[in-house]
This record gives sequence, structure tokens and C-alpha cells, in this order.
Amino acid sequence: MVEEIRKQFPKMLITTSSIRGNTWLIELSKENLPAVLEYAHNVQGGNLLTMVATDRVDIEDDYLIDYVLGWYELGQILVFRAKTRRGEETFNSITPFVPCADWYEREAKESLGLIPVGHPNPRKLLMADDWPDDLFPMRKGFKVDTQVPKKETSSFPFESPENSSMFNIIPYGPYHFAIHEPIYFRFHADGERIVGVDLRAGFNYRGLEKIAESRLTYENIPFIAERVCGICGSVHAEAYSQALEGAAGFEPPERAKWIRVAMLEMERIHSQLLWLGVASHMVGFDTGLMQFWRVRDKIMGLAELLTGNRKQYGMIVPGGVRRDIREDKRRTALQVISEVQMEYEELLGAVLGLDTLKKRLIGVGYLSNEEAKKYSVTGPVARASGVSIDVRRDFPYEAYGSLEFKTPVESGGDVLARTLVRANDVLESIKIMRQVLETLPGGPVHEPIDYIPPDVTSVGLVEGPRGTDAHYLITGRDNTVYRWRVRAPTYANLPAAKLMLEGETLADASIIIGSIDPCISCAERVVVVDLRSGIEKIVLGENLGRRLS
Amino acid sequence: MNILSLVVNLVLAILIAPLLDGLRRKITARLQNRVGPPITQSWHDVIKLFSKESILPEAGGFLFVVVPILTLVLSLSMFATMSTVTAQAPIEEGGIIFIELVVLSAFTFAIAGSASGNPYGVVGGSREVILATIVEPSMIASLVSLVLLRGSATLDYSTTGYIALLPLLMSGLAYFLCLLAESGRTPFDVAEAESELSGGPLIEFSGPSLATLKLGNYLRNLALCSIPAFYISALIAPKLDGVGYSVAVVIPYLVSLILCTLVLSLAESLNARFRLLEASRFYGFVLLLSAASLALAYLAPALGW
Repeated sequence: MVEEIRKQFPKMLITTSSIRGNTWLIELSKENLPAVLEYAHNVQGGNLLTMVATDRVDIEDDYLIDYVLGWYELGQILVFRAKTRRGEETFNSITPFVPCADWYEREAKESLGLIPVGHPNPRKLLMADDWPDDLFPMRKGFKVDTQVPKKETSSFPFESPENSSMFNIIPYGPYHFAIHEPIYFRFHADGERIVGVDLRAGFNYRGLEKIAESRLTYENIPFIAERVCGICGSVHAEAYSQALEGAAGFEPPERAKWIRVAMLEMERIHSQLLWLGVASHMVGFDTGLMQFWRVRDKIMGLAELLTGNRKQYGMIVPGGVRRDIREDKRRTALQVISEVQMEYEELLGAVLGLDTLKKRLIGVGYLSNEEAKKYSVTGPVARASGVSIDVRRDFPYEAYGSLEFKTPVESGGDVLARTLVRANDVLESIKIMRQVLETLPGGPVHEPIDYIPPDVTSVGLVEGPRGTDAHYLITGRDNTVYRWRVRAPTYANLPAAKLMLEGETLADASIIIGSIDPCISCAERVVVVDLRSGIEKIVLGENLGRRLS
Repeated sequence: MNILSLVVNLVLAILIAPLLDGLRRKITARLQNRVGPPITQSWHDVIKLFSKESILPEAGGFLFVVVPILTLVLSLSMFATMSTVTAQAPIEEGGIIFIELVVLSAFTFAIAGSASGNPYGVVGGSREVILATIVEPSMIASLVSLVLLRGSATLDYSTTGYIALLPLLMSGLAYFLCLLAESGRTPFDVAEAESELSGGPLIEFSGPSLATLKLGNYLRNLALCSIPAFYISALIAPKLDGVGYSVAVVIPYLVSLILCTLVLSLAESLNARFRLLEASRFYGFVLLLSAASLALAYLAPALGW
């Protein structure tokens, strides 16, 4: 892919260099960035994995603007890097022709004060309403313990469709019982039909990355990374460890690699079963919820057996894993996996045979193959629209290269297709689990990493239950990271929810939003919620205060 | 007017309506591999809600206060129109009034939604109206054919009419199918739709007003579940004298309640929620069924079945 791009833009690329076997760094001037990215994303079909802006004023007096694109079919990652000097805090937005860059660029604007010129929608994304406009938390000059003065709260400028006064405004969130996480969809509804959708996120942002680069050492971060998400914790720990090990040129011991795969697959099974249950509940089929979670609980029990915890295993750390799997536990695990497989297959057959359930899933929340590519969606959402991407298969990490499994792909593009992709995912994961447990190689499970060179850019990719989790890392001195950016799958999938929702009915809104399996805390990288935001008509920040007093 | 049976009806209804809901919850729980709450749970819920504060939303006015009471009164009035465990009904010709009350109470529930001013309540209310409009004709047709077959609109256990088996069964089946929607449980809980509209019309109600609404709904469901007792008694034509009395009256009534609860629980556990459009298609067929039973009930004596 590097050659293709060099051929297309012979004069624009400043340097190209290989960071790792499958990762290349391409430097270009910031004026050329949009043209090159438009070609790479729209013509060559690269998937936008993440976009990171970094403040380097303390060492180089400039800012880095990195767009990371991945070609799954080639197994290549390209980091497109442009620099902008201090005092010149602007760059050209690529959102007008690469719509999936929307959120990333808004985040760069808010967290670093880099203005994306030409961005069609430069509203707030992550920061609280009362956060001052001239404070940028990800700048190096911003100390993590700064007391932030409160700004006068202004209301959030929502988008409205034409003739919006003709329609009802239906608020969906920020706390909606069907999603259980704070996100705010604002529907304009004509009767029950949704004619306009606007999305507001950011209720959860706590600047985890800032904490990581200013307070934590390399060894602390996996545990914080694991707490980015309540469900796919190991995925984040693994992506971080992979990025760090990649930067250090370190290979974890063989046995550790296999145990990591076991952790990741166990998490995938439990996450997909959780989703199947929640999805059943969303369409009013509570029996499905109860039954899927009954099966899932066996996996939770297995997790407790292997790691000591039902969630937040703390297993994956840079250098390997923290606990070994003992022989007797390995055998019990194999037995549990067989039981789960049997019960799950029986249950799935019964559930998918239900007519009323199927009717709720077929044909709703349609996302076409072209839209899926254009929005760089990932994971089951992409695979349900016929985009066959899977990090496990395309960028084999840990032991995945020597395992046998299929990637479930559907072409329907609707909620049923997403359900089937996830349902089949569980069967594949069970297969992988069995292979791992049967052929677990011997040897140590952890080796210390001796030296981590500074200023190395590295990308870690992991196929989480919801899609590709991309961790971007620049190593620093003093045993800390210089920049760490988490791109959870929901960050890529959520903007596409708008496309799925328009024209559908209110009755299907829950299951459509649910079908991307949104993990808001992942998307916003958080631990605690700390914001009351302006929701017109419902409760404004000051209203809430008034009501409570 | 029979005051004694009215008093018996009202006391009995208030006592067992929440228990019947508790029974439904218990059966549903068992079907879902759960232990489930005790069958007195719905009673506990109502009592607890009465001890809570009631919050009046800014947009809620006079209607918001009145609707819960209206719901309760309408539901209680249903028990003045039928006999439950007494041989005689409180009033004569109560069947017609019962039909009126069922229709009226569905619309009261919808008004509860729009009275709160909450967009979810409004959407839930409009769904309730649409669903009621679709279901009520079948419900009315099946009840009218029951009245025709029994030869009297008085809802008690005596039968004077010409009982033809086929229209009676058709009408009974149509009634059961309407009961699913009328009871507001999955798969026809489109108005409340927990995961879509978070309770729809109920969304803004709290404390005593919610308890009143809930109690009203329990009572309404109990009344609806009581009707099949008249189908059963029409089938087995009880003799209302001597020892046979309790068997003839209490047994059909209890069988009717338990049967309805089982049907509701099964439907709830084995289905996902219908969309309105699908519900209307479903009730198109039910309407045909009930209309056919009505025609047959009308023609049965002439045909000499």
C-alpha cells in the first residue's frame, strides 16, 4: 500500500519508514493530508482505525496529527503523520469527504485546541458544558490536578431537520432504560417514524489518557485500561500490551500468548451472550434474556475459576500474563466449554425459531455495504453488512495464527444479520477456546521487558467482541507513556447509528441502537460520570440544582 | 339490584386482583428459569407505592390527577356487571355495560399518557388508542355472540339460550386472543413497552397515583379474566341448587382465572413484542373469527344445530 500511495503522490510524501513488520509511518505536510487521506480511505478502501493528535511542545515545539488507516485484506497499518508548529493550531479537516473522521477531529479540537478547518460540524463532543473553551486537557502544559474554573453553561446546539416544528421531539437518553449508559439521541418523530436524528455523546469523558500519561507508569496502565470497559476489559489490556511490546520489540513467552487468547475468547463468549440477552429484552422477549444469561453465567464461573474474578481479570500485562492455568483447572475449563456449547446450541435453535422475534429483527436498522465502508464501521456491524474484516484473521496476533476458526460474515446489513454474526461468533469462540485449552504449550507465562525505547510510535490492534480496538501509543521517558489513545469499537460504530435510525420507527429505535452493542464508557474512556448536561425541556444543569434544593 | 353480591364482588375483586397478577408473575418467572417473586408481591408493590410521595409533573394538570381515580372506578364498576362467586349478578343485563366499560377504560389509560405531557407518554397513549381500536371490535363481537348464545345479557351462571357448540368455541377462542392485547402484556404491551417507551402512559406517575393506576389495571385484568367462566358454565350448564352450588359456581370461576393467567404467562414468555402493524394484522384474523362466531350464534337456532 505504501508503494501505491507513493506512486499516486510522488512529491507529497516526505518520508516513509517501517515501524514494525506490518506498520508504516508516512510523513507528509499538513496541506497535503486531506488529498492523500481521501485517496487512501475512499479510493484504496483503508479503514480509519484511529486519529490522534499529540502535543509535543515540550520537546519539539510542534503538534503531531496522525491518522491511522488499516488495510485488513493486506494486513497493513499506515500511520499518516503531519506536523503543525506551535502558534499555528489548525489543520485541514478531512470530515467533508471522510465522514468517519468527524468525532476524532472534534476530539482533537477540544482536547488539544487544534482547529479542524472546514469541519462541517464543529460542536462539542466530549467535554462538559461548563468546561472553559480555552482550556485543553491533553496539552502537555495542562497539569492533571488543575482546578478548572466553571464556565457559564450554554445549551448544546442540536441539529434539526427541515420543518422541524412539524415534528415531535423525542429525547432518547441521556439515561434510557434500554441502553443503560449515558448517550443522548434526539429524535424528531413524525408520529412514530423517525425523520431526524441527532446524537450527543460526551457524558462520560474523564480524561483517562491524561491520567495515564501524567500519573501512571507502563505497568499501571493495563489495569486502568481494563477498567475502560466493564465488559471487554482484557481487550483493552491486550491492545495496550501489544502496542507497548511492539514498541519494545518484545515477544511474550509462548504459553502467555495462548493464555491471552483464552482470556480474549472467554470475554468474547460472555460479551456476545450478554448482548443476545439484552437484545432479546429490547424487543420484549424477556425469556431470551433470562436463558442467555443463564448460559453466560457458566462462563462467568469459568472466569472466576481461571482468574479469581468474574470480571476485570487483571490477567494481561506487558510481558505476558499474571497467572498460569493449572492442569486441573484446564480440564474443568474444557468440561465447562462443552456444557456451554451444548446448552447454547439448543437455546439458539429454539430462539431463532421464534417468529415474533425474527419479525422484529428482519429489515430494521439497515446499513449498506458502501455505507459501512464509508463510515469505517468495525466488528459485527461491518461483518453484518458484508465487510469481511477481523483482526484475528487479518493481523494475527498472539496465538491466532496457529488456530483454526472462521469469521462469520452476513450480507443482510440489518439487525438480524448483526444478531446472526454475534450468535455465530460464540460458536467460533467456543471452538477457539477448545483448541487453546487442548494444546496449551508449556513454559513460563511472564518475562520482564528490559528496555522500552522512547519516542516510538506503535499501534496495537485487537478484535474485541464489538470490533477493532485500536490503541495508539508513543513511548516516553521515565517509564511513562508520552501519548496513549484508546479507540474503542463503539467510537467508530456509533456515528453510523444515525444512518440506521433515520426512517425507522420509534419502536425499533432501541434494538437498532442496541444492535451496534454500544459501549459508551469505552467510546469515551471513563470511570465515573461527572456531568449534568443541558437537555432542553427535561432537566438543565441549573434546573436540576433547583429541583434538588 | 342485588346489594349482597355486589359487596361480595367488590371485596373479593380488590383482594384477589393483585394476587392474580402475582400468580402471573410467578408462572412467568418459572417459565424463564427464575424463582420469581412471591405471589403476594403485587400487593406489596401497591402498598409501598401508597406510602410514597406523588410528584405532579409541570405539564400535568387536572386530568393527571383525575385519570388514576377514574381508572380505578371504571375497573371496579366492571364488578357490578357480573357475578363472580355468587349465583346472581348484581344487576340485570350487565353484559352490555361491561362491554362499554372495557372500551372506556382502554381509552382512559391512553388519556393518562397524554395527560402527563411526556413525549413517551403521548406516544404510548396513541399506541394504546390504536391497539384498542383494532382489538375492541373483535372483543365486542365475541362478547355479543356469547350474550346471544346464552340468551341473556345478564352475566351470571344461569343459561336460558340455545347453546351451539361451534360458535361458542369460536367466540371463546376469539375472546382469549383479545384478552392477550387487552391485558397489556407481552407480546401486546406496545403501549407500556418497557424497553421502548419506559412504561408509556405510566411514565410520569409515581406514588399513590401510580398505585391507583396499577390497582385499576389489576382489577381490569381480573374482570377480563372472569369472563371465560361464563363460557365454561354455558358449556357445562350447571344446576344451581343444593350441594352442586359451590361446584357449579366457584369451580368455573377459578378455572377461568387460572386458565387465563396460564395463557397470558405462556404468551408473555414465548414471544417478543409485536409492532403495531403486526398486531393489527393479527387482529384482522381475530376479527374474522369473532364475526363468524357472531353470525353463527345468530343463525344457530334457525339452522337447528
